[in-house]
Amino acid sequence: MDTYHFSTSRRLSERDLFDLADALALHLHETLGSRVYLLARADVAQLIEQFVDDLLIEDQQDVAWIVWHLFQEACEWELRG
Amino acid sequence: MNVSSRYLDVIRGQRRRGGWQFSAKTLLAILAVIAMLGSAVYWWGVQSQLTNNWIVAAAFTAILVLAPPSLTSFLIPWSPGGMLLQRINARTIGYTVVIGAALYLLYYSFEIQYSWWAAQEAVAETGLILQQVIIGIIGFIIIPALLWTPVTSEELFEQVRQAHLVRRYELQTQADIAILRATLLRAQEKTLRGFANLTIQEREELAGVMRGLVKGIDQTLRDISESVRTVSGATIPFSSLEDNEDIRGYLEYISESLTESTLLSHSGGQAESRSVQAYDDQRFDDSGYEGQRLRPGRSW
Repeated sequence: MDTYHFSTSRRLSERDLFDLADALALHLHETLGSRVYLLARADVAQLIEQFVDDLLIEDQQDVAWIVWHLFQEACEWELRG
Repeated sequence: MNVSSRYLDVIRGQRRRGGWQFSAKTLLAILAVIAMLGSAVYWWGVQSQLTNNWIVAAAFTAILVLAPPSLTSFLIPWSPGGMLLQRINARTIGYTVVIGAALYLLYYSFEIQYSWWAAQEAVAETGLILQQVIIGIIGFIIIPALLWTPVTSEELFEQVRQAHLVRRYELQTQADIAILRATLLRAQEKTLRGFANLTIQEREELAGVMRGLVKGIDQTLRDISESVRTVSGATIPFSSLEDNEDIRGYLEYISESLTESTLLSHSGGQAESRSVQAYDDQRFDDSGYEGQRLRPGRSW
């Protein structure tokens, strides 16, 4: 079951974090192709920095983690197939 | 990540559109189907000669076409998961039965095919009977067995999970027993010294050990009950030893006895500490040890 938590602080809500991470993952994948699977989390953070530099540091880190996690899941999916 | 992702949906969609690839395994699958159809024709030819009852002949044909590859597939795993499953099941009775049945069917198949090929004049004259039989066994049994997976991925996962739980339970029990043994040894060592020679703290520790041992046994039994419930889903009724009135009475008696002696020792504190000091001086002297331990006239 999909669940979301909504933020009452200045931080992004969980839904916004996932949507942003989704969009960034798609963008990076279109640009770099399957090489994104080999990226370390620090590389992901560097690549998305220009899109998220107006967010709080914690949100920037969270988005980098989620994007990296999405790449790993996509990589596992490709390997399984 | 449980939340659905548009990015992952796109990747999965691309993967599905990637199309069908013809691999060596696909070819092997086609070959296996052809070989099994040939096997059915072959065994029907043999079995229908052995009996006029076509139902029995059909049943034996089905057995000889399907049973050898399916049983052999347990013996020749072709994936890391299959290897793990084989290691897990290796010591079960069912696996021994599978090995026995598979070996007998292989032997039966070998014997019948050998006789059949020996009866073919061209093969007998050229001395190729054994080679033909081996090719028959590879085609009829080994290739289908390689392609069949003994269990589905879900069953494999469940079996590995169960094996992991059992292993964890074994290690947990071993660790519990090691702790209980160490505690018991320490208590024994103190008891051998004689209660009268123990310091106040040691007496209190000894009373605690008595309770601790019962608690430890309780904990181990509770863990076993929990593990069994997790693995099999069956709930084992668990009654705590500490809840048993008799055992609670014994524990209280021991505790009170030790505490009373502790209180007594307070009144004769000087003598007690001297006794302990004397014991400490002699504790490593084997010749004096027995006398010390059995020294009469000490009340506690």
